[in-house]
Amino acid sequence: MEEGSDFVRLASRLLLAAAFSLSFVTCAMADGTPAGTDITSQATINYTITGTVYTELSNTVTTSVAEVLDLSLVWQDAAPVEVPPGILDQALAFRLTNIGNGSDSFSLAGQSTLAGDDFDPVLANIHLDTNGNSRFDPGIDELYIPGGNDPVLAADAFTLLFLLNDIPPNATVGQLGASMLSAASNTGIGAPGTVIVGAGENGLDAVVGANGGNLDSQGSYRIVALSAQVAILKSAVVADPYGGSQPVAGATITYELSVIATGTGTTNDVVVSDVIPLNTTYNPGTLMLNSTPVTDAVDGDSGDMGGTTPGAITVSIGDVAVDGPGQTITFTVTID
Amino acid sequence: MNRAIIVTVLVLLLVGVANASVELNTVALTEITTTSETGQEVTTLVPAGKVVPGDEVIYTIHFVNSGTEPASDVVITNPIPDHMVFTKVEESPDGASVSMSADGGSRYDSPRNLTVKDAKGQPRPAKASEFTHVRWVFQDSLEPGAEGSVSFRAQLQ
Repeated sequence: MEEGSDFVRLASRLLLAAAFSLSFVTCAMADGTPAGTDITSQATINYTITGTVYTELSNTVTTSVAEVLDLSLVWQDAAPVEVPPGILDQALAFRLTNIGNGSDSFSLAGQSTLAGDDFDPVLANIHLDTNGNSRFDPGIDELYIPGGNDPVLAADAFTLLFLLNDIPPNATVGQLGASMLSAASNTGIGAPGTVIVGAGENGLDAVVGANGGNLDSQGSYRIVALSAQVAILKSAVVADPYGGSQPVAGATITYELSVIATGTGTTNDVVVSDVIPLNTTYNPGTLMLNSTPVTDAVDGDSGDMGGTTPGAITVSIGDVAVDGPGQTITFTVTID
Repeated sequence: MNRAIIVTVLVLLLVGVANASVELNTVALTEITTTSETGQEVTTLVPAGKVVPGDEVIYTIHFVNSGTEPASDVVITNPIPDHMVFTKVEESPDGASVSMSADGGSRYDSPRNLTVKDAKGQPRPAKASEFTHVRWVFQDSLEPGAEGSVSFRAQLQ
């Protein structure tokens, strides 16, 4: 396209710079200017001496953008999560966003013995939203291991986190129990404005942002009665292709849904459906009720896959009595 | 054609250097606030070596006529730096009028007269965040030895 030498291109640029004010393109940045950006400014003066017009440029002053360390952490459930007493591994969802201007990783911690609530949930684990569907999926969403799989977020990126608690059996209906998730920048925390020399991305200086580099967020549970309800306890067992239990591609997850009624009375015409998690595929022919196979088609038997509820298994259990036997649904999926 | 451009540039640069009567020097400063022993807040200006989003930078352009002849029709122009939004003019010499551009420096006017085109191509008043240049037009000649500063503030996005 262009045959001129580099010198000619450079000369043309100099001419343009000298003859006109520098043209200016606004960069469509969504959020903060990225760490490491150089901000330059240069003034131009025009003047006349004895009829001759002169144009001069000032020096160029350069200011570099340091990495600001900042985050937001927000509880996602719209209201206290309703749980019966004695149930295990109940998830509160939180959204962690890197609102700094460079990549950062964050360490997480949970705390459930808080003041101001009616009962203390029992802290179990923190899980990452491994399949990115904003919902806790047992067996798929990886267990958080401090220092092992700290979430790494690019500037403006976010992730969901699940704080799991067991609900004590002696909690009573209507009681509230709070649990808190904390997230802290691994690059540094401290008073806002603290400079951490060389600690940022690519050795840039890092500056602690307005939140001090760490934040807490609280969520809560509300105890509801089991009497007029059935409880579904869902568990998952992972078997990977290499003889282990890692949730890797190709691993099989066996889900078991135990349907029980507690309290008093019988719940009639119970229908259970369960969505096949994102990034997994249902293994045809694996749906069973109380260890008896149920065909995948919509037919005379008690359940189907995808027919009654798209993308979900659906099983009609009928009546579930408090003093009757529990009902167990199993099926398997393979991680894509 | 290309050779002609090179020669023109070289001549321009040589002439410019030989007759650099009015010189400019730009510095970038930020304000830091500290609390004195008596508990009063003291704001000082320091060179803006490092900034983070939200910081305000004060660009100060010092001018001096180091020649022997007065300079007339003096105009100082500064593009608003990339990633920054103009916030205010800090300092203007007596008798200098300030105008802005919102179209990359083609047209300058008082801020209230500047427009940009909306999504339908209709003109609407320009916002401060859309200003691309700030300009000072001096009414008076700059006598030999005269000096001063113009400055403006901009905030890092």
